[in-house]
Amino acid sequence: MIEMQKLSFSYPNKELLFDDVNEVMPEGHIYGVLGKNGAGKTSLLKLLAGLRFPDKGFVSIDGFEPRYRQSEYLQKVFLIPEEFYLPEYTAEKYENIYAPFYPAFQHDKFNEYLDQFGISESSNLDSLSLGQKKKFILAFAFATNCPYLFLDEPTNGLDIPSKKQFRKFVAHWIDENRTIFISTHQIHDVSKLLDRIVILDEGKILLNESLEKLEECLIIKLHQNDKTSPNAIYSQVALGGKVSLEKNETNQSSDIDLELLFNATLHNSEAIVNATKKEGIK
Amino acid sequence: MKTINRINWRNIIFLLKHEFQATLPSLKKGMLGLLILYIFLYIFSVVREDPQFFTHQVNLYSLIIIGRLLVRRTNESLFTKGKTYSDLMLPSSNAEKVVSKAIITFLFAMLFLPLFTFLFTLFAGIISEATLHLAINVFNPFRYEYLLFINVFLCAVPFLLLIITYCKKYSLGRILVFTGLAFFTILIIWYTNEFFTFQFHPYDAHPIFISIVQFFKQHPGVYNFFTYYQWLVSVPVLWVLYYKEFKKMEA
Repeated sequence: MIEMQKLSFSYPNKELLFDDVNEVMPEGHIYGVLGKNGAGKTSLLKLLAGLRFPDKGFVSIDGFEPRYRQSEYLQKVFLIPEEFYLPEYTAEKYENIYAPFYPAFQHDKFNEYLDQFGISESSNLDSLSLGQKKKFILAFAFATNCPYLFLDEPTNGLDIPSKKQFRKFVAHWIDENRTIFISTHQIHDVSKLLDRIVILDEGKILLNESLEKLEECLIIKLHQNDKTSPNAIYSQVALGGKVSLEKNETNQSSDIDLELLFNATLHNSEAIVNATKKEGIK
Repeated sequence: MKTINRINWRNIIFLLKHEFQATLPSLKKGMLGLLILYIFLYIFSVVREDPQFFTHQVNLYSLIIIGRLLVRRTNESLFTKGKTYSDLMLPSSNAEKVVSKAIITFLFAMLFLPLFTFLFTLFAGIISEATLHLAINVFNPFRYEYLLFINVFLCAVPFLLLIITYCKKYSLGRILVFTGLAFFTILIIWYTNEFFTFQFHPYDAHPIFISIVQFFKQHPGVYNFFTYYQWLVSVPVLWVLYYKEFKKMEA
């Protein structure tokens, strides 16, 4: 479980990025971390990985404080940043050098993932394209069996079939003890995978909620005129009228468009959070 | 909250393997460059008919050239953004990472480089003796001057790393002050060594320095104390200071 208590963070000589954040994030989910440019998505992943330290308060993951970067903690987490490094090794040599650091590493799975991504073990990593490098590091990350994966823009550079494979990997890999954080702007690439949504803006985590609950508490309606519905928390122009996000008064859950949810949360996060406090829903 | 930073020798072995593999390609190039330099110095020494010239020069150049390469390669994470993430996220504690860097530096300065230089001078000595009847002294890694060079090197490496790590996160003004102080400290380390090797020339030194040298000559006990201090206190303290800074390193 991830816990943040009174977390404040800023870069040197810059305004506070996170201000007094208190959040609990249970394990076993695929979190989609959404936010505008500069909202702190990458910084949040770095704080979780122990690459940045809070100014005040703390982050804790399974009882470890990431800032201490203990080996036992680092065996539990794998971060793939947007800009990552691969040495001039073959895939096989990379495995020989790096895999021993991860006690739960599965050689068979690694080979299987590489096969599915079409990368040979004898490939020289330096000669791979950006997309292939990304596929390689994703295959390695999944094979480490680290219970926490932090992925920053994981689908950037992947072609369409590889995006599909990536979604398949994630769907197979996740279980109740594993957690994935995906920070992305390419929301449509991963929208079917996510089961919890975290929306950041102006130093706060505006929303941290399960998609299931959001789908039970909120509903999208299309109004075929230009008038804004009185029940709308947020509405925007769409083909054929206006589409609005409203409190779901029915007992049936509806699909939520994440882009609309994101815009609605930035517009009025309080109304979204209040709507999710519907009784009888966990 | 679990906050203890342990040292596990298994992790250190993995790290050494990782560091060695990362450094090997540049080290090979560096050794080739060093070999060319040694040959050049050797020819120069033969032409001048000054066999001492060669043995005096090799100590310094070898440490500077290969030392620079080693520091750059084993600490690439300080210079390359993507590598910073990769190295800091490697499952081993901060202490294990610093210990592995220290082990590589010690192995290189105290074992690998002296052995390489010794073998070269032995080979060159045999050739010059056989062909030119010119006796070139075989490099003696236990010579006092070389041991002092090593001492400065083992102090300078963590000190330089400390500066670079510190400068990564602070503003220009503080960097300049810190770098100035660092330069001053390296000068002190260097001059202290000059004292110990009695290489300070009376004509370019302040009388107070001359009197310190005289004092050391007259009191070998104090002199020995400083020698031990250089090895047993300065070296470990500088590595510990570097570790303290490394722990605070962010990416």
